[in-house]
Amino acid sequence: MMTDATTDARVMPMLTLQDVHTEVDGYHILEGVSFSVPRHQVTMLLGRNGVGKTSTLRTIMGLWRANRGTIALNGENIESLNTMNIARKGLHYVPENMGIFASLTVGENLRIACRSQRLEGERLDWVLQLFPALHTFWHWPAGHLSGGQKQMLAIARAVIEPCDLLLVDEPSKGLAPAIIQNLIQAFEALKSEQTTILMVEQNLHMAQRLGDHLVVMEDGRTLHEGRMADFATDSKRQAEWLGLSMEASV
Amino acid sequence: MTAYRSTETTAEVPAQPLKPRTHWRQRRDLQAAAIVPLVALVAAVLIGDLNAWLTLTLAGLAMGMMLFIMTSGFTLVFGLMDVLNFGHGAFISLGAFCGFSVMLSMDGWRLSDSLWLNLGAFGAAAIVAMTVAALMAWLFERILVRRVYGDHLMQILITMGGLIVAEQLIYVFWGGHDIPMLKPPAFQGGVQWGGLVFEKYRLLAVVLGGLLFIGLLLVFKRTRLGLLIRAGVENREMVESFGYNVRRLFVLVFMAGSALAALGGIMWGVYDEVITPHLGQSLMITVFIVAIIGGLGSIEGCFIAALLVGLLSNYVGFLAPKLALVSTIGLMVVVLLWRPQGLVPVSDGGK
Amino acid sequence: MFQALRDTLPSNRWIRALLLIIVVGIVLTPWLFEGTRALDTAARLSIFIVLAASYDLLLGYTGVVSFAHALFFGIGAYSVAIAFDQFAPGFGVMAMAILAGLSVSLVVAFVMGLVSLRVKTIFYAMITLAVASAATVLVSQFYHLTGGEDGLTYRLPRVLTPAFRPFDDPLFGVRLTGKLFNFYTVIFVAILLFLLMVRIVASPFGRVLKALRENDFRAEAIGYNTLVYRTTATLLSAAFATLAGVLMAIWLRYTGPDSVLSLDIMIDVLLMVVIGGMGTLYGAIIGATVLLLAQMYLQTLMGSTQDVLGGWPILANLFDPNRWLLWLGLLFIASVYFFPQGIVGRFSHPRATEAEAEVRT
Repeated sequence: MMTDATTDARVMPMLTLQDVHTEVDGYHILEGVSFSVPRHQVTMLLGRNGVGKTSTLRTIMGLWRANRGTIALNGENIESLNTMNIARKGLHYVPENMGIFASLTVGENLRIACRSQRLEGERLDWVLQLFPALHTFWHWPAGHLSGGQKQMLAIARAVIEPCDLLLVDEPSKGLAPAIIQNLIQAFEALKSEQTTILMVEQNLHMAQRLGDHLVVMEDGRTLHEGRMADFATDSKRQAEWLGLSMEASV
Repeated sequence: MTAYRSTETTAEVPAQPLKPRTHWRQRRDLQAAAIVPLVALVAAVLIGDLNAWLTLTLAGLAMGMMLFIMTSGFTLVFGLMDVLNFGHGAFISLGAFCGFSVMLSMDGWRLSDSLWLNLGAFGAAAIVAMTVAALMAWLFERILVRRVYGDHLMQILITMGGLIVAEQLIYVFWGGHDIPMLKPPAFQGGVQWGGLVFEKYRLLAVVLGGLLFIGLLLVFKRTRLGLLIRAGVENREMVESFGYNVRRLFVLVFMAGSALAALGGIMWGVYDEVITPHLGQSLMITVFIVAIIGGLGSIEGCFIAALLVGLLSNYVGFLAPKLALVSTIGLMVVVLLWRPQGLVPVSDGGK
Repeated sequence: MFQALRDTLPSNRWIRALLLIIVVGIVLTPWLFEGTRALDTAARLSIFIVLAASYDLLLGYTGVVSFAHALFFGIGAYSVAIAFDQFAPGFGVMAMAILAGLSVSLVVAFVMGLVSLRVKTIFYAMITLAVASAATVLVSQFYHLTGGEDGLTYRLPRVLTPAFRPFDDPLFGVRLTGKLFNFYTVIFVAILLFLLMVRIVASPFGRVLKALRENDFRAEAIGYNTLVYRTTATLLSAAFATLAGVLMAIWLRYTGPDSVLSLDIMIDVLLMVVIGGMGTLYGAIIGATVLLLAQMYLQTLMGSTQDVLGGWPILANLFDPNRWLLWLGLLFIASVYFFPQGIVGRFSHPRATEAEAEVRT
């Protein structure tokens, strides 16, 4: 079990990756990724461009198959399951490009995300309160939404059904600072709901605001795992691992 | 529940959902659809004879409807799974042969003067042919298509092989000769309306095709299945990530698409009053053209393209008979120059 | 040339032996087999080997699937046929016809090559199929020129016809006629064309093509211009197919849609290349042989099987001699599955060449 002193090891982590290797089209993408995602916390997956953060999420989701290593959700191995079954285990995914169905309306996009129940009731009200714009543009084709609205729709879809673990890939990518503030607020609301989140993020300000736990990757491997709070004050490591500093990214 | 916090800082949000604003410029499907009456209008001027024009238009619409029925499955299979099925034509032939066998064995109903008995024979033939085609499609998918996802070269080769074998099997079961069969009595001849004569079977084809199109649209726009198919065409991975079984969805579409091909095959056969084992292979080319013109994966585009091809080949067949087939290829080239992805490109939703 | 042969020949000894037997068999047909049917088969075989090899140049070496390859074959055949139909048969006319045919083919191929670079493989396959069918329709509609569905029958220069008999004495039991002269012209040119293709494949150009097929992106990054290479390959492939068509027209003294232009011919060629082995060139020899022998002898075999099964209607139909394509279709599917490199590719592993190695690493 996890023995890293910096995390709360009393409860079993939600998700544990152990020495995961992934190969795509003959290229090694991941070469030994090991970390865990503590329950009810936000884990930030950081690293420079191209170190395998997105690939890690895709591998967890079963969109790419791990050649080696184990991925355990609540102690149960899921690395050999296909995407459909992984999703049914309670993993919800917001990909880097958001995966919006552009020709479907906002409402239809949400309806698809509701696999096991009807799209109605408290949960829907809650999501629409979280993202009022979705209510406004309910009948619009999702392709006509702005970038920030699309991102909110993508997140709304992922949380419209209660999920065990939410995987989010760079939600702030390409968004204006004001919109990023909105996103942060939305994620804070989710956090207070005790949602477990694993997020890839380049925006250090956002990562610092939301993150509890931290994983840093380099060259397809995990470089460091620890508490966000420690990392946030360590500008030397920030420069060393990410090549940038907190100040530069706000 | 958490306390409500607005995430929209600046914009004032109305309480009621807004009506979608759609500009004419954004509605590629409507723009494309407008071409159909335009072509008919231009043809009317060129032909100059109202009676001939009406006959040709009806014939064109009937042909277009049959083409739509045949092509819809092909284009959806491509849209959903990125699978190009060269064997689609085999299901057209299969449907025609099964249907003809059933109808020929139901002489009592087929030769009766009653429209309802005639329709009964036709309906029975359609049901049998579509069922057989769906089952064969299931086998076809399991044995051939399943293994070659993601590799277009292999798909073309293997489904081409499937087409060859399926066509030969039709020879084996039905012999190599053409099978002639007159239209049932109630389908023969025409309906007088004013001074104009409409061929009955063409009317039937138009009505049937129209109903099917509306039915398909309803399935697509109103049911969860349709919702999933539309979403899957845009982004398959994402549908899987929501925990849906896209594979099963695909097999279903593959079977339904092949069944529709079979239905189109019978309708075409009854119209021509003769079928040959090469029927599917020769129609396949037109099916490709329709699918490409419409935009691979788009059901609305497929409908518009089928009507365009049907009308154009009838008009051109009347005005300049030698150019009939070349005209559809010309149409394809022109459309691809205008819109390289076809008339109604399937949005790729940030794939 | 010998270096080119050595570089490209399949390494497997048995395949080499088989190739040798086929070539020797074709060349010595007049002495080895009796009857005009054998002669006809051998000539057709050599022509189809060239046609299949030229298709392989496209399919196997660039990965482009075209269903319009028979079109070039047809252009070659029809240019000679129309020339001989309209003018007095002579070698001058033939030379002009060949030139005309080649130019038409090259222009068509150039346009199609440009299209193929713009659209994806699948679109291209579908578009070429449509173009090919349009060509068939055009041929049947311009019947004043092409003879329509019936095709054209024409006279050849006298040296190439059975009526030409320069010697009275047979040579080792075979009478030397213009027909034999025709036969050897066809065989000689076919061998020449094939060797030329071997030379092309073995050249740096051929290796770059292969590299492009393996890894477009990477090869381009290294600095090879995909556009130029692909287009050149398309042009070459079309030119060879045209010349094969010329040979066909000369050999048959008849040119019609069914013999040079139909989709059936296209499918036959596709079967030959895939069964023989894509991207091997020599696969064309084996594939064409398998297909033509099957066409002739599988039918006989099936006929006798059918006689045994006479009492079972459907089962007997399965073995009807006309259903040989069914079994070849199954063989085709099996080969795509189990040995996508075809017979030749399955049993030999040609050495990785420099350009390929450069791209792989």
